[in-house]
Amino acid sequence: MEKESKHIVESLEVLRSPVPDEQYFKDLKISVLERTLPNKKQDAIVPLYKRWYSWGAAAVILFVAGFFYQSQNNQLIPKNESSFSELSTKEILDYFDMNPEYLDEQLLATQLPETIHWMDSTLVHKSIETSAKLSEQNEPVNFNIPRVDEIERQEILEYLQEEGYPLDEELFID
Amino acid sequence: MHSIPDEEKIVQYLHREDTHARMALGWIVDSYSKRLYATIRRWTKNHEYTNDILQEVFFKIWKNRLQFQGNSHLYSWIFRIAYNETLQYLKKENMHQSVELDPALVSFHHHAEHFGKLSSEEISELLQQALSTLPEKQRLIFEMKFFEDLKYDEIVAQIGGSVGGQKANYFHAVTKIETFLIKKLNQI
Repeated sequence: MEKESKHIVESLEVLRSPVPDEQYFKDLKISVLERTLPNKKQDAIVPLYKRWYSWGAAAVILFVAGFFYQSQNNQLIPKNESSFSELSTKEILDYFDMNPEYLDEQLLATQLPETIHWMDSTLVHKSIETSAKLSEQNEPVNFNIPRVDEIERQEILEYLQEEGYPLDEELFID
Repeated sequence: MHSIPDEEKIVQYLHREDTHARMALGWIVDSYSKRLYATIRRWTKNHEYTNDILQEVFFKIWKNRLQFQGNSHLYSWIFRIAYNETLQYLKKENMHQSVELDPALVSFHHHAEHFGKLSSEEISELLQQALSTLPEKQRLIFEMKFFEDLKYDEIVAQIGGSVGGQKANYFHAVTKIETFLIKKLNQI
């Protein structure tokens, strides 16, 4: 076994590596000699992973992907979204005056800091102040509604029932 | 085609001013580029790496031409440069190896004891590992004798020494390689 094993190298057959054609070696010589010319920038051989086009391509891909992602994000922002904070209080009230059928108590409750309590004049004035804060112009509101304490409770309840507003417990609190 | 002068003249020209030195470099490229290409390609197994390294080797020869004083033969010096450049280059590329590699360097003869036990790629890899353990002179003689199939007097003409001395050198290289391979084969 040992005797045979000494001839492992002799039992190997060399497989020739591929060699380029003559033109390659001619070009190689030209390239080598050019590099030795005076004032010729002596470029170091740059390993593959440092070559600019590899990273340039990656950067372009990232940039394009980022650009599309950004424009997608911008489109996701609903442009039609509006809130009461963009409107002045007067504008809101004028609108509901003209279109009482659109008066949505629930919407008002979510949009305004405080729900307008028509029963309590103090709260009404407070809510006016709060609403005014939402408007940058802070216009004085010409509130044309009668004072609550001038209207009887029963009349108010009847009004609300006729108009179909849900009656909740808060309405009955003095 | 111009004939290439002997080594002594090449070295003389290499030490002169740029015009003559450039002529000498041209002679060196003509004399050794194919051999160096084949040798470096055996180590790298890839054309693109080989091309990069080969260019760098000739540039290093140019840059360090005045430092070569003829203490060793020209090819010994060039071989050393090529070997060091290859090692450095492969280290840098190690993490980024995604290129196509050449097939195996060697294979077993059909009548060999170990034929069929190891693939060509496996035995080639083991042989490369064994070579990397050799001192530079033994590696050089093994490359020239085994891979390039040069006669001893041709080897002596290129790297010096005597025929007897180079035979002994080759024998020691082969013994070390065999010891290494036997150890690895027994582990399989």
